[in-house]
Amino acid sequence: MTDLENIFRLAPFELSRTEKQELMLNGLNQLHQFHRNNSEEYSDFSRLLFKDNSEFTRLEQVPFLPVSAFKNHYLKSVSDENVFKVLTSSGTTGQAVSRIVLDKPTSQLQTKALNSIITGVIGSQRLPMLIVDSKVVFANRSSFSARGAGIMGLSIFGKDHTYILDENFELDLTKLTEFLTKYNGQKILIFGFTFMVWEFLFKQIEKGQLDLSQAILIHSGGWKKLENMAVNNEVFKSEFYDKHKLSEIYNFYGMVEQVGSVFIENSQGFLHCPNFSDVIIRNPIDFSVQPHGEPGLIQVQSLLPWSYPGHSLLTEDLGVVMGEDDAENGWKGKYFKILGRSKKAELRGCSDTFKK
Amino acid sequence: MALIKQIQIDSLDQISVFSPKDNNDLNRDQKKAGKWFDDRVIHFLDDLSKNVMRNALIRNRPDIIAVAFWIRKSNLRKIQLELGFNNTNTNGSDERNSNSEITQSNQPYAFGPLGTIFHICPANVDTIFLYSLTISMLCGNKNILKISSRMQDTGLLELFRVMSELLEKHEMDSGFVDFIQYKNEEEITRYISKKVDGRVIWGGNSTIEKIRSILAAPRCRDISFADRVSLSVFSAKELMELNSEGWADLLNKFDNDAYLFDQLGCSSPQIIYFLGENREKDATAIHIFKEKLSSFLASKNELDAASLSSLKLNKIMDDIAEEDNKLPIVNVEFGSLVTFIELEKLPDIEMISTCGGGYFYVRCISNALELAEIQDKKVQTITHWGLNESQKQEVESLKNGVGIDRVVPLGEGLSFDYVWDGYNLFWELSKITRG
Repeated sequence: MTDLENIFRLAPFELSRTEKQELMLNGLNQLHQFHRNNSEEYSDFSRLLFKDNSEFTRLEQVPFLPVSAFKNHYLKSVSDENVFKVLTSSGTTGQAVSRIVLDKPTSQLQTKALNSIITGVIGSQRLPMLIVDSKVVFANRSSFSARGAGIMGLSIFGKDHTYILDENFELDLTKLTEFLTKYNGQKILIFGFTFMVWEFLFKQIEKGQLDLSQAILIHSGGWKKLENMAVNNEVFKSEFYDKHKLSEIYNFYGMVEQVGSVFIENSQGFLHCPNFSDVIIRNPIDFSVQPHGEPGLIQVQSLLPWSYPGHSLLTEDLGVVMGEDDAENGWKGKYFKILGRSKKAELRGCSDTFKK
Repeated sequence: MALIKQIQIDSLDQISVFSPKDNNDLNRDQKKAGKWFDDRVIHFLDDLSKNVMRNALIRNRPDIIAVAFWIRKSNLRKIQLELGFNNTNTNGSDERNSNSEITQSNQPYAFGPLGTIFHICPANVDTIFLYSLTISMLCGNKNILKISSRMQDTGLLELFRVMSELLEKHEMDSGFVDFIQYKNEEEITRYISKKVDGRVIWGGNSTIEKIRSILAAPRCRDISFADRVSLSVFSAKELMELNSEGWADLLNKFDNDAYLFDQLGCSSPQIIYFLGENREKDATAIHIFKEKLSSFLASKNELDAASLSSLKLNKIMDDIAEEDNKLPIVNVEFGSLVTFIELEKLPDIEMISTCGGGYFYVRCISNALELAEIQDKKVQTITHWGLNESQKQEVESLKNGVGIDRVVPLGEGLSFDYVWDGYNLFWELSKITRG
């Protein structure tokens, strides 16, 4: 883990291909050995499906688990007494939730990783913070998991946290304008889930009512709901600028299943891999590696997950790598975009007059 | 006429077999319609067969075409003879226009209709329920067919439309078959269950449990088709000696057995046994089989390989990480269309549960009698290929135990037989009296 400490000292997008691959490979080889010795499931899966258990010479050789493994199974590589907390994701209603086991060291790495990325874009000063959500998300244990955890994670980068939705999830415009008056002319931070930011901060407020020219907006959660309204990232950004003069907007992609995989938007609007995480795009049929520019399933790799075997995961999202080390804003590393969810198999068969 | 009646709790009189007017019709028809192998029913089915075979929306569906083939008059007459009826029509005239003279032979039993049968068919497109419906009609019963409100299969919906049209044409539109649909409201199921004489319930197990928790009339008979496990057995030695024609034939047959219902039909193999010398020596044959099957399926281009890959990857994880019940996996050969999971020994049969789409458990044996390990109540069909006579007999002999209902050659796994899952459906759907 000493390598990681060094990586955190760097700016989050500083490592170019050769250096990064060496670091990642070294780290992932260690993680592979560690999880092989500490998770029977990981050990069996990598032995049976990937055959090769020796040291890997390329990142793409490191075995991956399907991300849904954490929905159906409780996988961990630490003893019970070292479990510090178990993160859960809320999938779509009625679906199983992922359970991610964290011990103290892995949890601390997560905080450091997030810190590295977020301070990399907003600076190290704590900014007054608007949250496009209601405090009620913390009252309900089940929704706390997804939205609540996201808010908690980002909250450490702000101060005077102000929730602009009331307990009925209605916009509290007075609260919002009071906050903006109070911090008039100062940098502020806004955080919320993509569709909620659009619904409340964009749709429910008239043009000219707010001046958000000093704000930095960070949002996440996916585009599915907005795409139904034909709103993509480009539209989102240009409309926000047009309406509220809000120009500094960062979307990010991440998942509870992989600590450290926080991919934030670069100046071209693509999601950028930080020093300690990477993506590999795989052919959805035979899982072979796709060249840059070819779409496929997104595999995510991270140097952070020690407490559970989540260092290399195949997601159910489709994406495409747009470039590497040559981003316009000078960031190093791969950058990519998300193309949506992969299709689930629809089979026929004998059974089930009733849906389970 | 509405094709499928949408039944609400306050509109149960729409079910024609229960409505007072139709009851009168039925009383009037009772002597005619309530007869085994009534000519009217046979002519209707034969007409249906012809219509289905030339219907552009259906004829590309091998499963429905197989049903259409089965209900041809000539086949039904054959079955009638097999069931113990004599054909006394000796004048050689064209049977089509004359009422046949097939009468029950001198046997101690007489068969008549059981009454009204409630058929609960599966939501997905497995079409085997069409056989039990047909048999019930041939037994002279009145029928209610519950179609899942989620059923959207265009081939089947077209078939129901054609059936309704022909029922009307043959003046059988009242009481012979009612197609109904309702949300899974227990009250309606309970109402119908109290009134019928038999329920034919096509699984899965959760459906059967749900339906059977709703009490039927005391004398009502339940015929349930639960989840089953089926398997194929191949001679590894014979595989090594196949020429290209032989391979084409074998792959076609296996495709039909395994992939017609995406490997989720109750007779589709979930396990493949390779009968050979030993695991090491047979490994080549197994590998060749997998490779040939994969390219055969890929060339047909019918399956969504991308979604199947993810499905199988997740299933492997499940099979490996199942708490307390890990499968004894010794080798995995992954492929989007064909994945082999080789097992060191056979686990509890309840753990054999494929995700479908070509996910097979594999066992290597050196003696056909080792198949005895699979003798379990849950096991339905063994399809075999390349076995010599004595091996075949050994497999056949296993049928006499607690499990294994059918042993048939490869390619006939899904061929319907009215003796199914241990039932003779003609008997189950009839009232039997002394002859």
